[in-house]
Amino acid sequence: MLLLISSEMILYSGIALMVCAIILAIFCAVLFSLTGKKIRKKLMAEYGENRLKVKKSKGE
Amino acid sequence: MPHIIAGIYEIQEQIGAGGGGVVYIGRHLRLNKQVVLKADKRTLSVGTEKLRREVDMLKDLSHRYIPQVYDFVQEDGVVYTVMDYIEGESLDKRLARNEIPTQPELIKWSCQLLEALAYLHSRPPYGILHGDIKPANIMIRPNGDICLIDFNIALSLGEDGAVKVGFSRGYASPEHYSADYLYDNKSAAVGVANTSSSNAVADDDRTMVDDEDKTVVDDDKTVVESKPFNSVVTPSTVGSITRSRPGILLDSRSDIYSLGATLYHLISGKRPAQDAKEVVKLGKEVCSPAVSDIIRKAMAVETKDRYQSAEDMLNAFLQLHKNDKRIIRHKRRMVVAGVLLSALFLAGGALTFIGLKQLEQKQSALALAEYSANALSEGDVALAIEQAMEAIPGGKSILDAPVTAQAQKALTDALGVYRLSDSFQAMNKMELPSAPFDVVISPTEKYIAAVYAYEVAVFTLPDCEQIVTLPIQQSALSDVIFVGEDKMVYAGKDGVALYDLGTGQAVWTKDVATTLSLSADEKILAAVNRDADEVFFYNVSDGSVVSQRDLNGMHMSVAANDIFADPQKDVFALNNDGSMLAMSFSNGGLYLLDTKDANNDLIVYEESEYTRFRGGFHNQYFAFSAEKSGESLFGLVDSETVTYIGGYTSNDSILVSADTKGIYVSNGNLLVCVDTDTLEEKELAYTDSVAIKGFATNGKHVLVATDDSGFAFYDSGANLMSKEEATQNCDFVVLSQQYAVVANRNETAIRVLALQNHSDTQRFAYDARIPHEEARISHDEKTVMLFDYEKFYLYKTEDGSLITEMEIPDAANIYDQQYRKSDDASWLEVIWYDGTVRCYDAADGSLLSEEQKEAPSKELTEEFETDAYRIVSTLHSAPVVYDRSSGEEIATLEEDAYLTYVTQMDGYIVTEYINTAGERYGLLLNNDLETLAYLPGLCDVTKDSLIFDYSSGDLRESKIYALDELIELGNQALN
Repeated sequence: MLLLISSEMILYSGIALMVCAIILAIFCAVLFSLTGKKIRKKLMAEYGENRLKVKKSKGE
Repeated sequence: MPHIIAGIYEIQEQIGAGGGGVVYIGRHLRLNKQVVLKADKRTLSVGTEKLRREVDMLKDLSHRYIPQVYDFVQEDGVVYTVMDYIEGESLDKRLARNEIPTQPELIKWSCQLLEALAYLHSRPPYGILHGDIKPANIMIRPNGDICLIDFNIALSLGEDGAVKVGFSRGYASPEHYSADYLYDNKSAAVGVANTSSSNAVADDDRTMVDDEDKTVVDDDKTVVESKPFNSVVTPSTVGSITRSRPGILLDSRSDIYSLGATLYHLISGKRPAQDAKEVVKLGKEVCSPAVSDIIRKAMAVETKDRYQSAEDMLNAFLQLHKNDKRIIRHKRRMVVAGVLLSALFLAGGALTFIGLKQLEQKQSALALAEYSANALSEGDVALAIEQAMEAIPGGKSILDAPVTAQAQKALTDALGVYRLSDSFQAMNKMELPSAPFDVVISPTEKYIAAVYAYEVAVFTLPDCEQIVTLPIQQSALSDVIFVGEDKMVYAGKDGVALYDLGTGQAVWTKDVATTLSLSADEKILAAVNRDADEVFFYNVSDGSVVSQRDLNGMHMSVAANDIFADPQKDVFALNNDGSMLAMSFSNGGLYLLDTKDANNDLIVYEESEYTRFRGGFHNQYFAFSAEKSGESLFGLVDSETVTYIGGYTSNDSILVSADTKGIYVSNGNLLVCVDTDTLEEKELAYTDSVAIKGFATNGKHVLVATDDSGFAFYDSGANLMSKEEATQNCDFVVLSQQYAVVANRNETAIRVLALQNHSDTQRFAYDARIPHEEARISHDEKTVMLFDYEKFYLYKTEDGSLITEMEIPDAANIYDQQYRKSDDASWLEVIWYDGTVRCYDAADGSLLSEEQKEAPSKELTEEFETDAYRIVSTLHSAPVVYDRSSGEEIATLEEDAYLTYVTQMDGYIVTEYINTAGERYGLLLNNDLETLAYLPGLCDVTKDSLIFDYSSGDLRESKIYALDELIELGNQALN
């Protein structure tokens, strides 16, 4: 099937997919960062600080 | 008066009293530090030593959430335990004020408590059980941290646990209450309450308790029970001890329960039910489900269902963030997104890699196609096919680019599948060690001999395999002549020699000579060495000297550096029987020497200003040419009658060749054959605007080298068969019946061409003299029409008979002619400038119709349509292709040619053109308008064939070759 599609199309499709993936990755990174912060804030409000992180950072 | 204890501590104030004793706040006199002094009320009952041991156990404890015990002093019979003063208040006081902590606070305290418990439970040897965890025993410091206090009933755990000594109702684990309760649940670490294995507070592991020493206090206070020594402690109700049932061992899980109950109370504000089974799960309005679950698990009825250690419970709190569903969901989404995006990126990367590889291959294919075309133009057909095949990807790999049109065209051109004329086509390109001096084909066409610096190499035909290399005289004048089928005479290094190619042996070798001539009967060989003034005549058969002629000081013109170049200035030619030698000399003399008797010599010129003599014998006639001062001369001498028959001069270069076949003279751009009887000249070749630089003839065909670096073949009717281009002017042209060789003195390679016969593709033959511009076959393939503006001829294809010929009136005013075909008719449509349109039936030539229409545009615009395209062709510009559906311009086709017909067939588009030279050709295109093949001579397209018209009077046909077929042919050619 790929032989029926021009080589240029395959190349540009591939590049386009990669670029889309990168853009989506950036978008997801930002989105997840924001939602992650939101969730952590909620958890902070619910459970207090993440003691496991604190413990690890103190090297306990 | 201050109350000083042990001279160290000053009791300042009583701050509490409970089951364990009275608690004072005091001051360390020396350190000036506040401390807590606890007067243990068990002093009298348990003894000082026991208390000391308890303090010793506690004073080793060092944890931020456990008060440090410093000292143990005795004063007035009261034992005081000195410990840290913990600022703050106990949690029960907060509860009393209905101050419910926030969940984060609770979790924080829980973690701290669990750290303290984990510390306690891990104390060697078997850990320490607090035993009385409740809000009252948890202090909240001003900084918000907790401190676990009141180790009244703290117990050192034994190997199997510890026996209970007291508990706080509601906070104590179920195992504190009753065996029935536990037996019902078939659980509990039931063991013999042999105090030797429990209560490992003292070394002897005994708790010395007085039976009467029991204190029952309020429900919310600690209940302390004493165990009689050696008595069996049972899980009984408060206040009673029976002897008949096994005792309950406590372990760290009891503290876990107590902590859970404490947390329960703290977060809900309600003390949990004493019966663990009746404890109501905390709802969402109280705390998070995760926290509720932790508390619930801590308060599991059976110890095996609780957290098995403080670390486990601590871990549960620490993992709250991590194990929260929202976090898990969030992480899962991130992972899914990461995986999907990675897959997308990898897919894109894979496609990019594939695309790049395909493009790389495509570029390589384009380059190879070009190399193939170059090789073909240089006559190296084998290399052209090889490179064209390389340009076509072999495998079905995903990395293989689609076959490019250029590659297919290169292969088509290299294979020559659409060159169907009987003509000489490139066969091979042979590389020599250095540029050639001469090239000769044997009369039997078995061999080619190439003379170069200072060897002669002999190759077989047609495979061009080298069979021998012989050293020759170091002179560009050195000659090679084939004798018979397998022999040749040559100017060998050691002397003129006859060499047998069959045996690979020299037959004879004679004196050194360079210039040779063989009589037509192949019996006599004349030889002269460079500019020597004597000529030898040998018998070819045995090399014996027939005669020798002294030239009286005359000699041929020889270049000063004859090792590099042959000036080609002189004639040296024997006649048919070897009795006469034509020889020119450096003084311009031209003699016909009798090989035996000087008295019979004929002097054409004794001396003259002429140079560059050429010529030879045809029968008794000697034809020659010469040059001087921009003038060329042709002369013809009858050696028998000793008469100068005639000749002429010309400002153009005149070249003469004479042999048994005839006398051939080229003058400028015309090559003729001279009839010695009538002196009439028959045209053999006319090269139009270019001059003839050399020629060769085999009696049927003529090979002509022109001064535009080209060479051309003509048939016996002087019709051009084919024309090729070389990189330089051809200095050598050799022609035999089946082979032709062209070469020049500047290139080391010689091109060999072979006569191709395609008579098997014959579709129709006609008299080649019939003038016409186009040839067409009718729709039913029953008739062939040859026509131009002047006239048309109609033939039956069945037998080639002429049906009719008709002159077209007023040819000068014809605007256009088109041969039209439909499914059931064919006709010739002629359009005049005045708008007259006549249609002539292709079946019989009759006039089908005549109409008067609007005068056509002088632009001569024509439109053609295929399924996808509309092609507009105008006289003075390249045809333009439009998309039929959108009307958008897509491409332009061939420039410098006029598009005459477009035919769509089987996935191809066949376009027919006429170029500025009036030559017709076609281009085979794919549906993307890429050129797949060049179709020289294309004149018509039938349902499944391409028809080619050749000036030899042949219509030949060919199918359209699919790529697979071309590849198959290519493989066959390479093998």
